[in-house]
Amino acid sequence: MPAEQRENLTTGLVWLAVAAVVMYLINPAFFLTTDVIESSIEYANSSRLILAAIMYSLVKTAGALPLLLGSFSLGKFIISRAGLDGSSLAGFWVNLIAAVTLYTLVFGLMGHPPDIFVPLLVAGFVLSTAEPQHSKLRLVHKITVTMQLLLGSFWLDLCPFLDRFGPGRDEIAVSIKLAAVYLNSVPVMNFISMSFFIPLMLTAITTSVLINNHYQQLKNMEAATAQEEELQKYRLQSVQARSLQEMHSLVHDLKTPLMTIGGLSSLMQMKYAREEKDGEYFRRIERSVSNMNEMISEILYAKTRRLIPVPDLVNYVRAQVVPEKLEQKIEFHVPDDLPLVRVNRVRLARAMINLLENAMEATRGKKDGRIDIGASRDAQAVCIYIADNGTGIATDNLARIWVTGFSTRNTPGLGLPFVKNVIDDHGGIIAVESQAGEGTKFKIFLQGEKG
Amino acid sequence: MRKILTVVTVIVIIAFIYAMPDKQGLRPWTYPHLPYPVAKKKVLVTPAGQSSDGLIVAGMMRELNVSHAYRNTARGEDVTQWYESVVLVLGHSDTGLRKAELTSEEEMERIQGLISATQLKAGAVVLIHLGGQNRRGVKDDALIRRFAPQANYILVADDANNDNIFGRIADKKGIPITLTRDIGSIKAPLNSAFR
Repeated sequence: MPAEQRENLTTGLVWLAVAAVVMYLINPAFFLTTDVIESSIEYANSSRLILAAIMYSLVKTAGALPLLLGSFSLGKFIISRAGLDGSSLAGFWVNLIAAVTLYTLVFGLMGHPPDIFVPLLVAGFVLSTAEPQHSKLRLVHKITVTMQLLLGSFWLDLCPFLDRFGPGRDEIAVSIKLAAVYLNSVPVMNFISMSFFIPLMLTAITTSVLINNHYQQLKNMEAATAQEEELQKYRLQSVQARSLQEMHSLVHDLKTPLMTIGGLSSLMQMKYAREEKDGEYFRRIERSVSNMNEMISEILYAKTRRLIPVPDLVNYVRAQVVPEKLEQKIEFHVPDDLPLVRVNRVRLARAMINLLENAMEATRGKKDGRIDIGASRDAQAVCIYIADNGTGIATDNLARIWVTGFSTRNTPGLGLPFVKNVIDDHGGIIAVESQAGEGTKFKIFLQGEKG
Repeated sequence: MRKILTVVTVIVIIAFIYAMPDKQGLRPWTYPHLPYPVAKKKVLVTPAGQSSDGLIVAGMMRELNVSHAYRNTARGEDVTQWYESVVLVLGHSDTGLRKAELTSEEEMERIQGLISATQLKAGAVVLIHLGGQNRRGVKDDALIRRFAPQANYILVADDANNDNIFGRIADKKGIPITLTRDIGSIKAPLNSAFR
């Protein structure tokens, strides 16, 4: 059985159980109402009769409210079960039959014979009730509107003028109307009952309209917020793209002075390198220039690869991130006998630095904070891992960490998507194991190559 | 729009069915009031069915200065000791019965006890029905069928005799009967029953 059907069935049965309990408990209230009617006759007091009428409408509403709410939930269950969701007319009839049957059954069983007025009431309810797809609003809507309709409707029972048309066959209502005749208060009772019925009905309709409007407003606000978030995401992406472009231009501009340094260094080597030591200095300058050129290429062109040993990659990362003094303990476990990896060192190192910075953030302020960076052989592949014993990631958030813009730390949420991008570009796989409060372990799998 | 029309149609049909006049039976020959009194004082007024209608009749008796007592759970023994006649006000009320802690059967026995005790004392039983069609449910009719034939005078207000149930019983048993237009008009014939 689908969850929605199960929910409707359970809700309906719970409401019916509540109705049965309420009906059992309100017996003293019915006795009290009868006492007030009797005292109004005994003392020929019309005010007491009006009090009895108010009590009648309140007590009957208390009994009927959970009953009708239950019958509507069960009606929804039947509609959904019979596959009549699409037809509003069929839905209306099912609701009507469910409500009348249950009302008649429960009121009858509890010794309060129902009257014919129920279909009128139900029709009014069905007409004026919408179904806001918002659980809290729906409940508020149903309870408030049904209560107002019931309170208003039971006043019709007490209108002697309408006696002929059906309402008011309930024995207490009959007693009140008879007493009104005896006390010459028929016009008063007609006036009072209409004075309650009309405003309550109007209030019920107004409340229904207001709640529906409120629901519409909520929906619009949610849509506006979603649009704003989307816009913010695009803005971020655009800023990121612009900065990337500027950085690329800057990096590209570095090539010209490097070319000059390289060329002039060669000239100087030819002219001034008299001793072996001088030659070594110039060769080191040339190596550095060449190294920097390669780095620039790696920054500018994501597809640029170089074959490097894993320890070199890890050391490169270590050199850029790990300062002299850290509150966390960082340990490296990189064996020397691992296969080489063909990577864009700058981009991959940037990705690993991202993970390392996240690990440092997760362990910040923790007494025994610890980060392990290591690598191991995994068949033909190399597994590089960064693990911490920090705050960890909640299970609900795990699936969303790769989504651009998602962050639990008030950051732009671009780091992990970038990491995943880089690893995907390298044809690798990135996996994460995490438990809130226990720590996180990121594993990067890259294809290994023989040197 | 279709839904609204359907709902309105249903409401109109239901209202129409309920507003239709019931089949009219033959009107019985009735007294406007009794030509001679049938009941002696002191009178016990009690509801048959525990509705509050009995109190209305008690109020009328008070206004008519007829010496009476209203007791909703009086029994035959009370009549033997204190009263000469009994006024039964018919009207079934489940709430009233629950309040008086009586079942329908016990109520029937109580009323029968009252009637038997009154008859034994050669007193009169005046049976009154005030509630009109609203007090003509299955349980009300059971009370009417059982106790109306044992009455010495029947008083019916409003349209409770639309199907001539009281008329037939009165005819068959030769009981004088008075039908009144409304509750207010019941006082005069009620007064005529007492010496």
